[in-house]
Amino acid sequence: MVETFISPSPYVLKKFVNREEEVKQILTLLRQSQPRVRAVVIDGDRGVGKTWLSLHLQRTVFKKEITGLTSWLFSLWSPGEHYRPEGDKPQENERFVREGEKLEIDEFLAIIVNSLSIELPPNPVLAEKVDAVRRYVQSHVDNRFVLILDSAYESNWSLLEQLETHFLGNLLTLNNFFVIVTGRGRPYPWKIPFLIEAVRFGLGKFSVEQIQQQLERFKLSAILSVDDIYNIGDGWPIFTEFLASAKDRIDALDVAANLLFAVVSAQDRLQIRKYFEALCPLEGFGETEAALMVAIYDPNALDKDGRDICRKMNKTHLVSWKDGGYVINHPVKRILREYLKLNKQDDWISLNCAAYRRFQRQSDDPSLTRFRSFFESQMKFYAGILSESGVQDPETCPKEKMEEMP
Amino acid sequence: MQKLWLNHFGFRFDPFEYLEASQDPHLNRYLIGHEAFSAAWSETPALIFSPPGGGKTALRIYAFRACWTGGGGYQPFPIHYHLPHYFENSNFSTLEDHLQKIVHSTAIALFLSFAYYPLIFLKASPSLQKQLAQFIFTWVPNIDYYLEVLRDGGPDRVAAQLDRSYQLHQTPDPALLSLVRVTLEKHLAEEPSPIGLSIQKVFERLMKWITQDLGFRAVYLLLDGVDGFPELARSPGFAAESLVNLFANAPTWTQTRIFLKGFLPLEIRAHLQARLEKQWPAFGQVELKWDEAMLAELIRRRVYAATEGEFASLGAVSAVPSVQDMELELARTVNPLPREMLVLVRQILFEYEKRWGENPGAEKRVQTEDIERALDWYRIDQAHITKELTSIALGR
Repeated sequence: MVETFISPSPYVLKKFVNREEEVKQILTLLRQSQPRVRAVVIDGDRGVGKTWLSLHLQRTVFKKEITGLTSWLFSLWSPGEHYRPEGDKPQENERFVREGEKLEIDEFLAIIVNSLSIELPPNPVLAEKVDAVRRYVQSHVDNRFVLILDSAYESNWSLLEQLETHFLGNLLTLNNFFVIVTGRGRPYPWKIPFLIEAVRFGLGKFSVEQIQQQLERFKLSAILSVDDIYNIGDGWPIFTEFLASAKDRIDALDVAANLLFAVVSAQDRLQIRKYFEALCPLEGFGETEAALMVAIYDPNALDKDGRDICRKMNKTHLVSWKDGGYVINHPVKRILREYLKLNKQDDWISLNCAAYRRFQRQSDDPSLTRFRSFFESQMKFYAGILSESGVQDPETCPKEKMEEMP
Repeated sequence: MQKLWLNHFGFRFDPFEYLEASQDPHLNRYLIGHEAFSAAWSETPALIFSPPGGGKTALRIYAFRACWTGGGGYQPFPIHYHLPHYFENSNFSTLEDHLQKIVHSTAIALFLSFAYYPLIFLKASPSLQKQLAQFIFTWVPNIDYYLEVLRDGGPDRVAAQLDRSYQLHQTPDPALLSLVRVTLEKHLAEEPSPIGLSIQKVFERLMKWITQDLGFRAVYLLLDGVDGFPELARSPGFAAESLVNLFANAPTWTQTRIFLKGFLPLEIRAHLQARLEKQWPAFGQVELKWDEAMLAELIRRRVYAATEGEFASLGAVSAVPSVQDMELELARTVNPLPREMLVLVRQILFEYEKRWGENPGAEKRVQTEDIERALDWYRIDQAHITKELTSIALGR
């Protein structure tokens, strides 16, 4: 596993593909005279294009399509030390939080207040600043004001709490103030009715045709076929430009995995990626499975405790809690599985053996009899994977590794 | 209990601490039942029915706090009309009887809104400030005492003494709060203007101040506590009779953007309908019903909010196999009411901590034995209320 330094391109209009449907929905909302819903929440996995869509709305769509609209884009979380989706030149009404930086509500308000040229009383307190913004927005009834909070779920939730308590809850009561929130992983539990009742949509992956369009717009000639790029990247737009430069499938998978883990700080990246690799064969897992699979995959791992492993994985926002267990985000899981299959076949087999044995043990547990058919279906699933990998009889899987189970 | 489990399991706060909704500062993070909330939140008169412990008060508090999130915006102004507060003056036979109490609660609501959000008061014209101050002094006895409490302890402490439902668990800017206090104290020292208005006129003037002069979008009157009032709780017919004059006015009040929201016991429904035949269709209506899935979700949301989304099930920190839906299994064992579910979960955590405290080297996970002990406790210690609650929940 060689880590390569990779940095996706910044947003440029001529490279932007699609999202017409999402843009149309947002414009329809903004054009309503008395919109009941004034909040939009967009979620999607890493690499699906949330930040590019935010930039596209801020820099292109809003300027071109609606007059009398003021918008701000705050990207609240850094997608890695080297990636600057906004480019190198700072633009008006935008603030991108960099790695290690913390955005405070005072700075947030200062950007808004300054952009509107609002006069504040001397030494204003927070409530006065918010009140001044509200009065400004309220007095410009024919205008529209849109706040884009990009990567909100991944950000510092204490900032979100401050924003909703002091700012959003106040401004969203006005008919001409809108908020667009994007995020991935664990959704923030809003307390504002306007955000609870927000229009929600997930950004979908690209089709093969759209990946082709991307290649054309990026002016890239790929060694891999468009179909390969689509299959490896699963239609996630962020991968296309990197997969285009990959020399073969193995290289492409490594590049894609590196790109996904660019969101993790450099010092932890290698270790965290190992945790993900260890757990990617499972559809969902808990602390017990985390400890077991990591111990099998990386006996020298620093963390032996399942809870610590889960916490560290959780911090990346590449895993979320779903239906009673932790689930690795779809593109990460998919890419790592392919990567292990091709690159680390022995590890892939031993991890799937471990999964098979784990379900077998549960299936044999008399206290879990009522779930037996589920466990058996899982055993069958892993037996199938093992068979594809050349292990015809899963009963040949070593049993001793099960004894390592915490 | 030291609540070591908070740290063991990575909880930022205890989401099961408060059985009484008004005390829970995080209540609005874990809403269950959007349909009921829509009724409480929409600009229509509404009737929200449930059995005792079914979440009426939680929803009322939720709606109240939703009005105040981001305080000072173009929100509805919420006023609690909590009947047990008027135990000593429990005559509810005429509209005027109700208005008397509503005006009193509005005085508290205004006073506390100025304390939590000083700009509402400070942005008002000096003459309105004076009128508002004098109104508050007239209707809130011992206001000088509450101003002192405000100075020493802040709005939460004043609300705790006047009516806990008004607690917002927020701290205003000290400089602005001080300015409000000083202005109120200045007016307190002045000779009060004589008031000779009927209660109806006082009510109308108040509503005008709120919806026009102070710039609120509407007024939400949140009526609750019928089942906390012994005389009314004993006789649903009598309770309906006591409320009919108030609810009969609700459709008319909508013209002045006053929306009455009744959080009422289920048993009163038929009696009220019989007496409000003409007005009945004007009310949005919803019944708070709890099933196992909703009760399980109630716990999951709380776990999610308290762990900042790291996980949404106690199963994540228990030895129960992940294939088992821990919350759903617990929900199947309790009486189908939120309070019951919270009581059981608290006991599980208590049992965990007790066991772990005896053997601090043990794994920091809820074990099956903790759950079993809690269930035993629930079956034995809660048996005396189990039967009663089950029959209430089932509407018998």
